[in-house]
Amino acid sequence: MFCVAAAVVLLIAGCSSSTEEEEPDKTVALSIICESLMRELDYPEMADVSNRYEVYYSLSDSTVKECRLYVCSSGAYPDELAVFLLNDPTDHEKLKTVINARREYLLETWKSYKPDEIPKIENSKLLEYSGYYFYVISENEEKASEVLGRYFG
Amino acid sequence: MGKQLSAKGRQKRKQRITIWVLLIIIVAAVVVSATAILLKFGSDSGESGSVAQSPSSVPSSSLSSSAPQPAEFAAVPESDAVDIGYFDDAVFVGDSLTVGLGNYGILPAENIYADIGLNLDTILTKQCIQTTGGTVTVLDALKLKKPSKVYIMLGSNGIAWITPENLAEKYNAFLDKVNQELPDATIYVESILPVTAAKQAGDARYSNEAIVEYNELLFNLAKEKGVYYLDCHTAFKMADGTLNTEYAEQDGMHLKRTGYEVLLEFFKTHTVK
Repeated sequence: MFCVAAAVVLLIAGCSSSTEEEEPDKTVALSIICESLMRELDYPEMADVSNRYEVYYSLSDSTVKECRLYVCSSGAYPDELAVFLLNDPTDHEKLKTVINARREYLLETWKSYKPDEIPKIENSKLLEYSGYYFYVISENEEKASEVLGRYFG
Repeated sequence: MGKQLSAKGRQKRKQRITIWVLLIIIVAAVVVSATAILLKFGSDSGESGSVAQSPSSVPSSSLSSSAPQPAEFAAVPESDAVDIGYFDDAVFVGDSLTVGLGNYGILPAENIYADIGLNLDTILTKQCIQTTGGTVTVLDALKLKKPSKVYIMLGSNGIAWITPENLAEKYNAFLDKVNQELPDATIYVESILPVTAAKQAGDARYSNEAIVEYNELLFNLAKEKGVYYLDCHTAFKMADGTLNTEYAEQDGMHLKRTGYEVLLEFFKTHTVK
């Protein structure tokens, strides 16, 4: 397990100097981390909507270098996991603004729809590791740091 | 000679009587036939009069060109399964239940015009559909895409607080707008799905009896508006009228992948030409 984690960290840490041929490996590595997070935080069945992240977050490829986005497949819960790597690391304030807008939108939507799900959104966390921003909406969001800490050290 | 004349006179009188009798029979036959025809005509015009009352309550402008006829209105019956390509020019409008169709990859996400929590109070105002021209309302997105078929599943989110009359009024307004913008589209109104026994027991606002009543309203609304009614509800309920837990999410209201597979199969086997 430690070896796998170490290999993943190496893949991600080396992303800035990676060649284009290595891109698929990085994506797989990030997927592994996301799957681990969703499993350990006990997410419901999630849909991978990474190729439509612009629909959920007002961002585009000009700002985002890489994104993984998962939402609850059935729409029954607000659980969400979003990961962003920016083209320009100095855009992090822009990213935070967009994530905050997403949070407000979800609060507004779920307030009248299923108010008992609101605490998940209110307690959502934005965590940064090696330039990767993880936005976690889950009832077990406090475990996210522990899981990510294992991968990023 | 006098006897001869008398015999001839009797013969002539006999002939006259015969002619009169024949004339009377002919006239009687004509009168009977005419009466029968008049009676038949009267009865036919009476029937058409009663039929005419039904469509007169439906504004002809609100009927799409492929509209079902009110007099023979029924839920779309089962038919041979269509190919998945049938849905290429279809758009699915709705709330989180419809969002799931795209999230599970059951149908292409670009054909799903739905949003979490969308309901009849917000369907005409909430800007929630991403298009090349920005984020717009469902109706504006429909105007841009101009699909040939529109599937609508709304109401689940409203049964907790919208009265049946209010639901009918708001649904009516939305259907009018869709009909107005897409007069040639085939429009399907989907029934509201049942909830599980646990959901019903845990939240009094969600009763399957009420859902059946709402669905009757939707059926009548579809009939009045000249659009098609899809009785998806029946495909999901168990003998006691509750949502089959095999298809249900833990919240007792939404669907798991297996539920969406059933829903797609239902769509494929309930279409109109």
